[in-house]
Parts: sequence; structure tokens; C-alpha cells
Amino acid sequence: MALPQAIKQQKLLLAEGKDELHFLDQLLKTINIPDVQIIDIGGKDKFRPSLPTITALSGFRSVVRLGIIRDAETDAAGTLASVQQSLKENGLTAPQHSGVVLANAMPQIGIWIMPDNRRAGCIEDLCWDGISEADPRRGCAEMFMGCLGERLEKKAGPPGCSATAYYFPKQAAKAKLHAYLAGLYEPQRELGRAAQADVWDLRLSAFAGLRNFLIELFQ
Amino acid sequence: MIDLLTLKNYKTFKRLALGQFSRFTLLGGMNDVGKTSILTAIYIYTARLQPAMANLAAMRSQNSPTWAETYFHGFSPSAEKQIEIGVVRSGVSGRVEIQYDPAVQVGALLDNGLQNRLPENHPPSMLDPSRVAAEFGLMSGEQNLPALRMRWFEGDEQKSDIYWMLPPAKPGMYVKYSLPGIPAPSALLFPFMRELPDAAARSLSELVKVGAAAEITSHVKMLFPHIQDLTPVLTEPGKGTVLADVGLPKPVPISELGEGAKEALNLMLTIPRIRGGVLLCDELGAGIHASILPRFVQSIAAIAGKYDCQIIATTHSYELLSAAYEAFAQDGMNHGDLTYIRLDRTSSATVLPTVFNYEKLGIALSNDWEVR
Repeated sequence: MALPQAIKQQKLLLAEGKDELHFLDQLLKTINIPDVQIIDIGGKDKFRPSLPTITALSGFRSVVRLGIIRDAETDAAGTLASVQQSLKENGLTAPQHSGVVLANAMPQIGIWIMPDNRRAGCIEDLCWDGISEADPRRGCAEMFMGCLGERLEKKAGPPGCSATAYYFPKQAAKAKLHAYLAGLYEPQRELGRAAQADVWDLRLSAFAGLRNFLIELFQ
Repeated sequence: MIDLLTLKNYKTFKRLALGQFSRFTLLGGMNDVGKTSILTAIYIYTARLQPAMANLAAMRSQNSPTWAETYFHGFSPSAEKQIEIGVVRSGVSGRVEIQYDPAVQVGALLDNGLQNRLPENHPPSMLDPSRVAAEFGLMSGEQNLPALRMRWFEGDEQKSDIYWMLPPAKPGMYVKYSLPGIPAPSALLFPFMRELPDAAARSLSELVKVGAAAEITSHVKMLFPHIQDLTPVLTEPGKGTVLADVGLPKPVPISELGEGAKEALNLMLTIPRIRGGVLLCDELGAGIHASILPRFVQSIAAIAGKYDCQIIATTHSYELLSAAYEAFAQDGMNHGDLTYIRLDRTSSATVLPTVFNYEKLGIALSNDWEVR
């Protein structure tokens, strides 16, 4: 039987889900930072209720550097404010801006709001940016989304409507990226696993901002 | 109900403040962090003159002349170092102060000590100075002998003054005086006992007399369906056992049915005996199969609720934590009645508590995060 997950590293990165966990794990490997423990919070709505529990876990007192990665969704500034509030509620010092590391705190804390601390969006947008313009499947995925736009209701479906109802995907960025992943020679079903399978070259400039943030926080 | 515990110079704790106890409180943490010491501290405060208080000495090697040292932080008792066990119980604060006196003048104690202000249930042997002297091996009143002086206070009023004589005297309590205080019944239970305690048989007998045994029996039957009925058998005053009908030609002593049944029954029969008090349990559920742990927790929580009893127990078991959460998630259970407190040693002198309420514990368990 697997043991429950304990905090064993002094460098801790909180991610929203398994995709983020696997993607960040691969990115940290790319920049040769091996001693960071990533915890999957289990969803964007879980961050705020989970943080009091995480700070109570054995081992958290030893954490000296803490990273938090969240999707901006519709509002990067609003998401940052929500994270800052959660940190304060748990006795942690919140940095004023995302993408920078608060060095004079214990633990040192950095927040990154996907995709780039400015735009609305999510990790899928960052990964989309990492797909070469020359990749023909990029255009195919865009055409697929265009096709959906022509054939489906563009407006949001009513609350509680079926997942198969004829409405345009409510998470268009995810749909577009998954269309791309489905078109790979060896199709990938999960973004994180795709990153681990080297679908993206994480040394590209599209990932430079996040790379540099992780280096500043953890190296 | 105990709300707050403060310790000073007690065992592993230089200082500790532990709050947020609830009706059902589990204590966790690494080995030697002091979980069981918290139980014994509360027991010392609550037990006062209960004869079972002597169990504290028995927990250590009775033959060791140094057992008393183990109660002092750093294993170094001295006249200057005082243990303080502070408790806030149902809003009333009290404390026990324990001092090591290397040379108590036994003669002065015997001449001026025992008074007639003892509680009614006080063991008779403590009332008679000559018996005390003989029993504790104090053959000469002129001797100066080492002792622990234990003084109980409620608010600022001193309620008791007791000397616990140490070797070379025969260890035991010498009561200088004791005034009745707010009743604080308690019991301290350890796992893997060889026999069901006599007190359990007496408790079941009392419950039978008042027609309250069926509820206990039904809880036992839910956990152990092969047990059809329970019968107390008192063999002589104060002694007894419990027989279980398991469908065999004749009933069998519950002690023969295995650790789980014995532990569960002992817990369930101890709670009515200490109505309004606190049950202190080391390694709760240690002998219970994981599949019935939630039902087990729910049963003892229900009985504790009925008898207004608080349960404080230690555990290393993730399964017990999960079971407790599952039990308190059931309809009719109050989430606020469950608390888990993990103790972490941050230095040789510092132990910090971390409190998990029902919600916090649930988030940790649902993510399979380590909280022990």
C-alpha cells in the first residue's frame, strides 16, 4: 500500500491538477532543478480550502521556498488577488505581483498566473504558444475550432446542461490544444503526459518567462 | 470537558499549551513526541486520589528507584524545578504542582498530616497514619525520605496536598489533606491488556441493574455479530469477568475472543463508569480490524455522547483517522466534535501542536496527504 504523501522537500510547488504537476515536473527537469516537490491541489476551486491543510502538514514548517501556479481563467489580476488573500489568511506573506519572488520572507514565495501573469487563460494557452507556427497540425486544430464555431451555438449553454449539448466548448483553449494532441503521430490524451513525452521543447522562448521564474524561486 | 492543557517541565515538555480539544480528540505525531505523556498529565490532574492513580507508577518499572525522574523534563528532578499541569475544564481552571523534595520529614507528616476532610470514596488505608506508615515502609518517623509533593488547585484554592513517597520508602501516596473538588472522573486505558479489567465486569453489572446494558450489547453485536449476548459474572467483591454468548454450548470469557472484542467492550463499559468525565486512551483501536473501525468510532462516540464523556486518544493509524472522519460524516454526528492534533518536535525542548478540525482533516485524507 502506498504511503500517504508527506512534504519531504524544502522547496514546494503547488499546482492545480495532474496536468500541471506533470508539466511542471518536466519543466523543472529541463532546467535541472531536481529537489522541488510538487503537490497537486486537485483543482482550481481547491486551492483556497486546501491551503490551511497544506500549511498544517508535517514538513511544511521546513519549507523555505514556496511556489504557487494558478490559471488566470478570465481574470489574471483577480486570481492573483485571491491567492494573495489565501496566503495572508494562513499567516504567509504574499508577494505584491505575480512572476516575482518575495525573497525577504520565510518561506520565500512566488506566484505564477498562467499563461503569462497578464492575459486571461490557462496552461493550455502557454502550451499552445509553444507550438511552432510551422507545425501543420497547429492550423488543423485552428480549423477544427473554426468548424465547431460554425456548427455550434457560440453562446454558453444553460447551467447544468449536458456535456454533449450542441454548444461551443466552454474551455476553448483546452479543446484546441487537445485537438492538436489528438493529431500527433502518437496521440496524447493529457497535456502533462504530453510534456513528459517531449511534445514540446521546453527550452523555447515561449516558456522562458515561467522557466526564469522557477529558476529565480528554486535555484 | 477539557478545553485547554498547559504543561511546564512535564516529561518531554519544557512548556506546552494545547487547546481546541473537542468531544473526540485524537493525538498524533512521531514516536517519543509526547502523546502518551499528554494523557498521563490529564490523568494526574483528573485522577487525584483515585486508587488507580497508582497505575502511573506501575506504568514505569516499579522496581526502578528512578521512575519519578521520568516525570521531570530532562530527567532531572530538583527542588527548584516544579512541574505544572494546568487544565481548563468546562471553563474552570485548575492545576497540579509537582515538586521533588529530596528529604521530607516523615515524622512531621505523620504527626500533622491526615485530616478528616477526605472525599467519601477515599481508600480507607490512607486515613490511618499507622497503616500509611506501615504500608509505605516508613518504619521510623525520624527519617528524611525523598518524595514527590503534589498539590492540586482549583482556581487559586488549594484542594489537595499529597506526598508520593519514593524509594527507599515503599512507593505510595501519603495524603496530607484533600478537600472535595469539582468531580473529574477519568480513566486511562492502554492497548493489549491481558484480561478484561474487573471494572468492566462491575460496570456491565451496574448497567444490567439499571436496564442500560442492552445498548452496550447492541453496539458490541454490530461490531462483532457472532457475539449474541453479554453477561457479567462477579466472582468476589470487586472481581469479575464478562461472558459472551457466541452460539457455543456455554458462554466464553470475553478475554478469549481476541483483542478487538476485549478492547471495544472495555472502552464501551468504561465510559458509563466515568459519566461526565474524560476517557484517555493510548493507541485507540489498535486491536480493531480496519473494516469495522468507522463503526467502532461511531459506537464509542455515541456512548460518549450519551454519558457526557470526552475521549482523548493517541494514534499512529491513518486508518483510524480515516475511520474517525467517516464516522463523524454520518447523519446525526456533529463535525465539531472531532479534532485531530498532531505534535511536532521542533527542537529538543519544543513541541508544537497542529490542529486539524473535521474539514481540514477531510481535505488531507481525501488527497491522501500525510498528517500523522
